[in-house]
Amino acid sequence: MFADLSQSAPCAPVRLVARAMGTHFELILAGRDEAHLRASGEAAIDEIETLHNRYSAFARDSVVTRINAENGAVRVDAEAFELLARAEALRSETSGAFDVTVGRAMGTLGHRRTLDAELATDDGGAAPLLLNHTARTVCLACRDASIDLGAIAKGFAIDVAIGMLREFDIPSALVHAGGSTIAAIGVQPTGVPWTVTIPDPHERFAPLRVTLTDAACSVSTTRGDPARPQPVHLLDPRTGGAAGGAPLAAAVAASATETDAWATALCVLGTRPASAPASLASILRPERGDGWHVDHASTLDLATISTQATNP
Amino acid sequence: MTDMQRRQFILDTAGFAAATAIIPSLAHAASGLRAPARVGIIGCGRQGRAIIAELSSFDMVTLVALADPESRRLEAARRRAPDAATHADHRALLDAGGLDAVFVATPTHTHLPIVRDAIEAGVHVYCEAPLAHTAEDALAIAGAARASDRVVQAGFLARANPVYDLARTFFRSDAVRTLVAMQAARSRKTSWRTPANSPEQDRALNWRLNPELTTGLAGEWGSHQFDVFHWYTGQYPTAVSGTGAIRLHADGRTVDDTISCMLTFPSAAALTYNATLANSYESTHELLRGTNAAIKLAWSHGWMFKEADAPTQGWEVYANRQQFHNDEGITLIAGATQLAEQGKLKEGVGLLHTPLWYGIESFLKSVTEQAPVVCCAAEGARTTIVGIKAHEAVTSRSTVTIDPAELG
Repeated sequence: MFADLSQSAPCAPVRLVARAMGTHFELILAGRDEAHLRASGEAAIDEIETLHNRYSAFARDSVVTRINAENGAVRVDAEAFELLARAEALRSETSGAFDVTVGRAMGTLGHRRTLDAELATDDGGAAPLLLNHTARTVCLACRDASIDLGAIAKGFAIDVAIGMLREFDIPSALVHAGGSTIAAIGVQPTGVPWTVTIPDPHERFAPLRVTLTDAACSVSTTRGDPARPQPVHLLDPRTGGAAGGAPLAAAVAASATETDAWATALCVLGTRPASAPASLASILRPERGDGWHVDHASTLDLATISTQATNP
Repeated sequence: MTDMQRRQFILDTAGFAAATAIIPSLAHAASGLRAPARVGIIGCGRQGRAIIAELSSFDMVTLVALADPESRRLEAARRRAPDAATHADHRALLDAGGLDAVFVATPTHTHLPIVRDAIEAGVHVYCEAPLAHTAEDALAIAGAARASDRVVQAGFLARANPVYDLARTFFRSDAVRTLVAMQAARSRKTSWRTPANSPEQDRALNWRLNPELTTGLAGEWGSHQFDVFHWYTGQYPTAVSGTGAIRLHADGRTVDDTISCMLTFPSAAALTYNATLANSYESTHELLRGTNAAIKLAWSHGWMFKEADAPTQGWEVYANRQQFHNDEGITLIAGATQLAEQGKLKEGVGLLHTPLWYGIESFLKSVTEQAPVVCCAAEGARTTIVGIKAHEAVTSRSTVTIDPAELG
């Protein structure tokens, strides 16, 4: 049943949806062979669901639950270790504005597990995640800390999905998680780049349009979903309280893992730190000001991303 | 040296010793393994990679080798297990030596030569189920296992599942009373197709849609659920009727995407089985209906629904319950007594680990502690053949008899 459709007209895009990580993942795949598009998308969805089970803090047998429950080091596989190591590195790069150990704020109050003082970091507190690269083990440093990968897992899952779709030679695709993290392969079947619209939460400025070609974009806000109000939508890991940086922040880069984490950090910080990588474009909607703040968009390949903002 | 590098250096030199001195993880304590086992995985598709993920939670197991002829799959597996040696085929993996056991997770129709070679190489074998695509191959695997002193376990996971084991004690203790009907179903909206980039790759990867190689939904999915009833009742069906159709995936395939079967048991009630690739509602479950109660099993969870006129046991007063529309089910919780004493009964709802984890744990216990094999090759072969017969019934739209002698 394998047909050579290389000379055929493109088929209608295939749309697949899956529920995972507390949201809906949608995949829109375009090409010539519908059966191949569907099979590729299903394989990517299988992987997303597997990652959900592996990294959910609410699944009894997930890697995260095991680490949170254990009073000591937990051996994990290479993929989990790399993800947690990257998360810990991002914590450092964002000066703690991004931190997967949700309860770390409790640690600053002295609820600390027994550790050597020399493991302390320059900021006076111990890093929340202890990573042993030789044994590939992970240990929470603070007794009351716990891991929640909600601010990075969707981006990571999208990166994995995009990687699989590329391996299956899918020429054009858009993958997003609840509309907050989006990644694209190639351009739309019409030849136009995939376009993301970011609305102004204060509805004072025209929406920002971001075009994506083989790139990812994540958006983070302090307001959350109006249909499901929560006391605190975005936590500032440094204080344990509500984040008060910017009403909305977005990040654009090649990796959805990076944009997912950095969008959160930018929203918490309210400004782009000097430690942000040059390969990451940042978009901030400050609480007060005259419009969007876009940084480092010009350092990216313009064929990959371009921004257009029209302020009144 | 940055602060991060300094801390990593300290951890790398001191952490390993600390890690070995820690309180054993729940997984280790639960498994009770006393000796390290060196294992390999043959077949690095989705199931092989799932095995890799589960093995990482067993402290006393080292994954040392991977084998797959498809480089993309092998690379995907290697990313999860970078310390394991990689091989293009099972022969190279076995010839490299140094293994205590292997997990065979290749396409069903390729199991026999791999299992036979592994047994001859002196390693214990966990073979994914169903064991084979023909009765002859299934019986050959059982014969090879019987002639060997190696542990050979079939990957039918119900028998290692703590919730299923608990439910079976209720079933066999007369809580259900007279069995009147059995049902099982598996539903998932998916094409069942694996993406391929060439005709050769398509033939190799889409064996489930190849009428010459597949045992269809009845064999690949159904057999796992049939085994539950074989285990519970101690019986095997003597006839199976079936039908099927392509309801959604009209992509040129001839293998049905929706099937129905009825399996007739000699003295137990009949089992009706439905499976579809066109709808996901209710996922996977088994149901045993009796005159006193019904038991419903859903792989990570189980419930008992008692008839209003069934006698009440004292422990039921404290049981955790869950409402399903008009029915209230007693949640079957493994280790409930201990959890109740700790005031943690609700935390015990559902399995702590995946069903696959328990299957792997039981296999490793058999390998390292000579624990009884939860599903030996002979039992696995019998269930596999029932699945093959059911597929025959579906494809022929007829009733197929099953002579007990055919099951080995």
